[in-house]
Amino acid sequence: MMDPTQPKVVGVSGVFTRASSGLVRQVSTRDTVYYGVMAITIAYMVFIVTAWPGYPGSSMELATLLVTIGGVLLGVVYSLFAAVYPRSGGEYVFLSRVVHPSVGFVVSFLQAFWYAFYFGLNGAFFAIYGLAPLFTVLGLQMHSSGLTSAGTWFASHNGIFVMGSVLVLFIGFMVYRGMRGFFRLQRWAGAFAMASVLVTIVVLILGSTGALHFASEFNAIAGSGAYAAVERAGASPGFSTLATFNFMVWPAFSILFSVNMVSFSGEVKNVRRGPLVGIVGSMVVTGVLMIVLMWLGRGAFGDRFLQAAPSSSKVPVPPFLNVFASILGHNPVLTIVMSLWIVFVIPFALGSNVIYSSRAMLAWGLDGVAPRPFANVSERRHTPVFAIVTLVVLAEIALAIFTYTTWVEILSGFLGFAIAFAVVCVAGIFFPFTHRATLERSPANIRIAGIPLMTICGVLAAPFIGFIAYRTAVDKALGANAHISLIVNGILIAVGFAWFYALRWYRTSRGENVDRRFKEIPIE
Amino acid sequence: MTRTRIYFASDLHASERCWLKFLAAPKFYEAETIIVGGDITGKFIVPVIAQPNGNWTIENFLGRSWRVSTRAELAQVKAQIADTGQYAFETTEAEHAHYEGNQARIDELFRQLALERVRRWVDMAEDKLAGTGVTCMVSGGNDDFYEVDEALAASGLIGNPDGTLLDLPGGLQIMGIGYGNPTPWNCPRDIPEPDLAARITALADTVGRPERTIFNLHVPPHGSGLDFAPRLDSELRMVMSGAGPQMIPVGSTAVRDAVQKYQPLLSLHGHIHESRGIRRIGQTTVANPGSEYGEGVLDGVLIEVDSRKGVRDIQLTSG
Repeated sequence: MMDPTQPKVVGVSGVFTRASSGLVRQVSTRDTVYYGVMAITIAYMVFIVTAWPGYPGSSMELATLLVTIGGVLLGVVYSLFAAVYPRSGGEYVFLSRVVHPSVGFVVSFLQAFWYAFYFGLNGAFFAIYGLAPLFTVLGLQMHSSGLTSAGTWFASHNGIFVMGSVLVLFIGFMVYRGMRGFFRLQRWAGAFAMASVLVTIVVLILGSTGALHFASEFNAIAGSGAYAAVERAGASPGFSTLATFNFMVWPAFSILFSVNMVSFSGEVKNVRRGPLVGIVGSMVVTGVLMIVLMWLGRGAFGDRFLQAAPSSSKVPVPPFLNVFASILGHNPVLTIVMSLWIVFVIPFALGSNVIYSSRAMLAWGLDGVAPRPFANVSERRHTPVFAIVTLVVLAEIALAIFTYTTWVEILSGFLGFAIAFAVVCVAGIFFPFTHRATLERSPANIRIAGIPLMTICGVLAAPFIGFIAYRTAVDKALGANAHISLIVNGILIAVGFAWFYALRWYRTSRGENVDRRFKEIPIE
Repeated sequence: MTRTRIYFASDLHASERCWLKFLAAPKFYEAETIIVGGDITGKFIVPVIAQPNGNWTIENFLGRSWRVSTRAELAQVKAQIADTGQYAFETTEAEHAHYEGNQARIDELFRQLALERVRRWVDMAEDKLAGTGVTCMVSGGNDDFYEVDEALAASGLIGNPDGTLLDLPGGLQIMGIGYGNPTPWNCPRDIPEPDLAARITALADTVGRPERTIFNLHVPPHGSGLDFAPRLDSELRMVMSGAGPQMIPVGSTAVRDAVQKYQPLLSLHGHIHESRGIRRIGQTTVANPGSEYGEGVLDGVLIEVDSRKGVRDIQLTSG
């Protein structure tokens, strides 16, 4: 038996090591990909498919494939930045060093705000896309008006706000209590969600091969001839490249968030594992899963039906992919199982939202960029209480606005993230030239035909990210360009810069030399 | 009323680039006192294996293998290895085989290479700082072999506050403890919390004016927000979540209790590289500059102390 007091050495191939604190083994490839997939929130598939009719002639699968390719290019830029600055904790620090401290802060500020926004909206999504469909379909399948009424209530304004608030407060409390229990729950929830996705795929395969018949199951619920009536109303436009490009904004809203896995790395430098595998691997895995679900969904339900369902009065259930899969399965147990990938994944998207933004706020507080209370950590729970409470309040405001007004929609906050991705992308293009020595001292110094890989991926990803950012600003479908989104992003950017420079002025007036903070000490 | 400026960094872990930056810090930051708060030795030896054809091969540096064909190129690569806080070890296939798999021999090699570098750093400091009036303090941390203290003691210029109380400019004093609470690695200076508490108490009780004293305790206070590190499994692998690594507090309760009890002017720490920040515990300003030694970035804390009003300004730097 191993003596627990003996020094423990982490072996690393090709080098000698010793017992030294902080020297950890690389995270397994399986774990990096698994948690990257979790960061992507595959549950958003539901409203991605629901948005499809808004882009006549588009190919969901091709759009998702293009987003996966563009996302991988962006992911490589992020991964290489993580290889250069493995302890930086993401955009906040590496943009501060690579571009300018004000840019690092503004990007972080923008992201933290929109994560708080989605902390609230994901609460609403839980009721709209998770509970309401589940109870409605169960009610119809089990002939229970109580369950159907519950489903209707979950989809009502008050139902959305109450259930969203319950989830926001619950997740806020779980994160406050300490991450360990939360993470344990998340791991299991993720496993159940993946199993649920696989069951859904099996049911869709049976539907698309004719072993199960969606039309007859739908007619049993909606009335004889309902399926044909809905299908007749559906458009059947020819393929449109432009519509396909325009549709990319929807899968992008999900897939690109794998770059959040950038914040882990260690002293064992191996660029080919860690974030690179986590980000790229999870984008590919999720992209493939989404494409499979889309393709099978179209096969099982029919293109014209899916195109017409969201606007048809003959569809007595929420027009979502998971709902149609449940009808196809015609079994209450299957309905429950196939709802898990929505019901289990969305709460943990909330958790990730609050963790990312509270970590950013904690970092600002500790750095002295934000008021000191943001740096407060509960002595008992070891969590940033002030930051979490601030986020819960912001989330509740966002939830109320989303529920009771038409000011914001699903994609309203995506522009803020797209701006952040674009800034990182452009920074990645120039970094190898503006910080050549830093790159050459790092494992990210990978070149193809003499050109830095970071530059190549940045150049290739920039048009993609630029297009996504442009579409989020101009797309009218489902409020991607809700006017308030443009205004709020403008205000956030202005406030972020104003905050940064006001603080800088204040510090300078006290005799501090703030310019030195991120400047490299010249070696003589 | 006088003001003094102090620059504090920690966990350089043998990074030559960080040491050179540290020596340049007094001029760059206009600091009168510069301090390294422990963990000055490295964690990796990179074998550079001479081949019969006159080339040298490196199996793993920066995550990839290298083949070097000229002496000039080799010198460049060895400098790069030193900049990242690793020790290049020129050897042969036969000698490499002698070390491989034998941790006792590897530890002895570490001791030898680490001490060589510390001695060279001491020489560099004396060349650079002699006659400048800069006060330079360097101590060992929980990762450092005890022999490091002897190498530092050989310097007439560098003070080592570990286990003692030393004077600083501006009428300040500094006391240090390089020991740390137990880690999963059982490092050279890891000791149980009660022993750590006893050592801190024995030293802190000799402090006359805590409000004019800087505590340089290598490990940060438990639960201070300056001690978040990734949770590890039994294989010393980071435990992940959908929001990145799971972070947990790993600081010392003995350090926390001491800061709360004695309320020194400042309490400066290192040890946890990923948890840089500035906090207050009671009346005490507490800081951990973090460390990015492997990237050659010297993370630090710049502190302005007023002889009457105490800490007037403190900011984190990334040099």
